[in-house]
Parts: sequence; structure tokens; C-alpha cells
Amino acid sequence: MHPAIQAVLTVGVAVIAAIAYFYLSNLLLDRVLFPARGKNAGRNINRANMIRPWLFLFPALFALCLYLAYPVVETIRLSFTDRVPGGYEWAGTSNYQQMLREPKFWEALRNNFFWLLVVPGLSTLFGLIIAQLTDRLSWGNIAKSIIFMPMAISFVGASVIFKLIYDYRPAGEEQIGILNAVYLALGGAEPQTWLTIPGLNNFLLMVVLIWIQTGFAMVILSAALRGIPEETIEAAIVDGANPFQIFFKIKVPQIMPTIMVVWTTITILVLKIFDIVFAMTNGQWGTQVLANYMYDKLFRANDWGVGSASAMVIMLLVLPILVWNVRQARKEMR
Amino acid sequence: MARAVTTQRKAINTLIAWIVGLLIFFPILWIFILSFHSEGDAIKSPLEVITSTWTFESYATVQERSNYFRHFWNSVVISVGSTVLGLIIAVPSAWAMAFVPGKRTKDVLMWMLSTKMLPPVGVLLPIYLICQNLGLLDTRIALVFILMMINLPIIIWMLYTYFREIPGEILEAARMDGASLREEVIYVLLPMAVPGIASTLLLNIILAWNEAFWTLTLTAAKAAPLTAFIASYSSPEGLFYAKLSAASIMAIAPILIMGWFSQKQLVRGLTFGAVK
Repeated sequence: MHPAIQAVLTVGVAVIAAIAYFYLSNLLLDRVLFPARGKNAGRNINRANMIRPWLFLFPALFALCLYLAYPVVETIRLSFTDRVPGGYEWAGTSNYQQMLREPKFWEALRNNFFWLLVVPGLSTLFGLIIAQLTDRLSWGNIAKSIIFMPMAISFVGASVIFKLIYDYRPAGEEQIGILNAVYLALGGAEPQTWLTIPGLNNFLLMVVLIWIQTGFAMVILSAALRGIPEETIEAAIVDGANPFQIFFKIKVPQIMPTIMVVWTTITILVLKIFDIVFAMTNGQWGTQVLANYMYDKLFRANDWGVGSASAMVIMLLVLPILVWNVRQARKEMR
Repeated sequence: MARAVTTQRKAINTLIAWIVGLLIFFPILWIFILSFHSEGDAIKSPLEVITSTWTFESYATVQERSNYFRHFWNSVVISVGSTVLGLIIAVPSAWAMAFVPGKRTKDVLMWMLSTKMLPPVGVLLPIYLICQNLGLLDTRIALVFILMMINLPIIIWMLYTYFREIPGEILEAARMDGASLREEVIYVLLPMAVPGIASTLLLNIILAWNEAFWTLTLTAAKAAPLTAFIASYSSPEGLFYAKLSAASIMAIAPILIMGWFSQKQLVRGLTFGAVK
């Protein structure tokens, strides 16, 4: 049997199994465990209704636990063990010590912070500026849709596109990489191998993500701008505020909660950054990030201990932002 | 109109917006143009590229050499399969939380939110090892289930926010008229929630289609969807610009078209309903 058909069949079986679970468990609850008849009918109905939500939540919760609980615990365990022939050996903190000794780890950590500092801020800022520019423009909507377009592209696809843009060909040949062509046209002496220039190359990788995320920020922020009550702006105009004051002192404070939503959403995305670095430089030339460092350790160096240790570092870094974000969401839910 | 935006100012803003739009769109456009030229023409200077003859040959070569359609169908099977399976599991959960909220409902929702924020690197190795032990490396089945699990929180959240907009009284009325739970869900709830379910479906297909972390780590040649295909294509064929462009366009085109029509859904899903 063709493997693709096998996959489709498996999905079909899983779908039927899920439906059967919901149907049968509900039937069991109503007919067998707590039937709505006899002398306890009222109490039984109440009980069944208390249990039913959990019955329906169970498969989802189970799937999420399966995906999370065991693997996270296992990763913690692996980070404290070494692989020896035939099994594992307790290694104490030696994996962490080895990781902390490696310059590549510190480079990755530094770059992650660099990404965190630059990408969410710039994406949100650009998004806000474009949202303000296109606010209430009759021809703005199509422009907005075009700006949003990169959002639908996968990070890998975007990376490949930008690799072509940053492409280098030896001096004297036609530069088909747009960046080099522009650079030469503007009076640059030599074509550059952009992705190997330390410091700058990090920024060029970030451009890819900013390119993707700006549209996302813009769509959200322009909806927020449209929601600002007209009166507040009119009042400011009557009081003689100039456009900049209106923007910074009237509009921005009113959409601050939305700006924070955008900023944190992108921040969480940036903390997981992997695909772009993987596809463009693979962490060479000083562009390593933690997730790719881990990938290197796991699948290239085959060092599961250090790989797991670096995974733990990423998780610990995400934790404060995660907690803050969940708190925020909880507050908003009343 | 008290808003002090003059016609002239509007025209300037429109112009700037369009320039920014074109600037942002330019990379895609450029790849698109390159992909329709022969390898020899693609390495000419930008102006010459546009004026040289347009051809489909790069597309044909990509299909011939790396079997584009196999990866395309992998993407379809994986993204649609994981989404459908996720929806079936998510609808009852979302129903339970939206219409029968209990003391713990909020906690469950928040927990789901946090699982989606947790970086997948933390669970990569154990899941990789499980797949290895079960002989599921480089299979579509493994990816369907894993992508279903990682996107489940978003599906449930999306459905939950859509279900919340449906007044519970309507469902109650159906119950009063003697509808069983099954009838209530199938004949009353689902028809009203169709727009919400469709948006969730669309959003999740896009997310699953673009997923690269798991597809890159868990697949090789056989089960690789388009994300993994384009990543592997970029290195060995990196010097063949026209073919690489054609491969990129073929990898992003299906999703670009879907994305154009689903801005709202993408935004709503990625912010967990915080922005509607």
C-alpha cells in the first residue's frame, strides 16, 4: 500500500475513534452510570452534567499531556545524564558545565538576546507607523493586504528568498543578489558576502523576521487605531495639538494594551527562533542561536546531554515571559 | 470632519503606503520573475532579466528532479489531516468550556495557552526518540499526530472564542424542545458556528503547512512536506537561481493565496482571540 494512503487511512481511523469516544462515553454517562429515570433521576442528571465537560475535555488534555508532560521530564533527565554504550549514566551537572565552557553557547545566548531586543521592537514600531499612515485611506486596504502577505510564508520559504537577495557573486560578474546590486549602484567598491560579516549578518537575518512580522503588527494595530473614539482626537485638535502630539499623547496611550499584545506575541515567537538561522547560515559566522545550537548538539554532534541542557536554558528563558503573558490573558478574561 | 487630514496629506500617505507595500512585496515579486527565466538569463543584470524570454522550464526541471508533487501532497496530507483530527477533538472540548463553564475552565484555558508558548525544543529529543522506537521517523503519520498536538491549543481557543459569541439560550431552547446532546450539537450549534469553524480550519492549515521545526527534524526524503523540501533544495541547488526561485514559488504559492483571504483568522488565532 502506498504510504500516503496509509497515512490518510490512519487519520480516518483516528477521526472515527475520536467520534466514537465522544458518542459512546456520552451514552455511557447518560444511560448506564447516571440514567435520568428512577428515584434518583434529578440527582443523576446533575451529576452527569458535572462530569460531562471533563469527559469531553479529556482527549484534548490527554493529547497535550502526552506531548508535554513526559517529554519535558525526559528532557530534564537527559540533561543530567550521559549516553554510554548500552544505556545512560548519571552525569550530574557536567553537561551544563561543558555547555557553559563553550564559546558557541555564549554566542548563541548573546544572539538570542540581540534578537529579542531588536525584532519585536522594530516589527511593532514599523507596524505602528504603517498603520498610522494607512489609517482611513480609501486606497490603503490593498496596500495593507500586500504588506501582510509575507505573514503567510513559512520562515524557511522567506529565508530562501532572502538568501537570493543577499547573494554574492565575485567582483566583475553581474550581481544578481539585489543587495549587492544596489550596494554597487550606490557607489560601493566591492560586492560583499553579506552573510559572513559578523554583527551585520545577525541583523540581516533579523530583517527576514521583521519582514514577516511587520504586516502582522500593522493589521492588528490599524484595527486598534480605528477603534479610538473620534471625540478624544477632536478634543485634542480643538486644544491645538499638532499631529505628533495627537499620535504620541492621544493615540498611542489608548492602544497601549494592543501594542503589548503584539509585542509579546512576537517576543514569544523570537524566543523560539530556529528556522531562519537554520536555513540561512546554520549558525556559522557568529549567527548561532540557542535552538540551532541545540539542533547542532543533538543531530550533528550526537551529544544528547549538552543538547538537552541547552533546551533547558531556552525553556527557562521563556518562562518569565510565558508567566507574564498568561497573567495578562487571565486578567483580560474577567 | 474635524479630523485634520487634508486631501493632499491623504494623497501623500497613500503614496507612501504603496511604496512601502511594493518594497515589502518586492522580494516575492523578484523571485517570481526569476523563476520564469532560464538559468542563463537569470544571472544577467536585473533589467536584462525582465526583458529576456519568459519560460516555464525551471518549473518543469524542479518537478522532474525532485518530485515536487510528492512533497506537495505530503504537505496537503499532513496539514489537512492534522487539522481535521484536531477539530474533531477540539469541538467537544470547546463546547464544554464555552457552554458548561466550571470553576476550573479558566485554568484549563490558561494552561493550554501556556503550552502553546512553550518552545518545542524542550520536547524535541524525547519525541524524536519515541518516533524512532516506534519506527515512525520520516512518516506522515507521526507528523499528523504531532502537528495536531502542537496546534490543538490554538484550535480549542479559536473555537472557544467563536462559541462564546453564540448565545447559550438558543442551545437551551433546543434542549427544552427535546433535542438530545448529539442533535443539539449537530443541528443547532455547528450550523451556527460554521464561519468560526471554517476560519479555524483555514488558520490551522496555514500554521501546519508552514511548520518547519518538526518537519525538518522528523522527516527526510520520503515524508518531507514543502517546508523541508525547500530547505533541502536551497543548499545543493543554491547556485541555480532560476530553479531555486521556481522551487520557492511553488513552495509558497499555495499558502500565499490562502493567506490573502485569511488575514483576520490568522491575526485572531495567533493572538489567541485577543484581537478579533
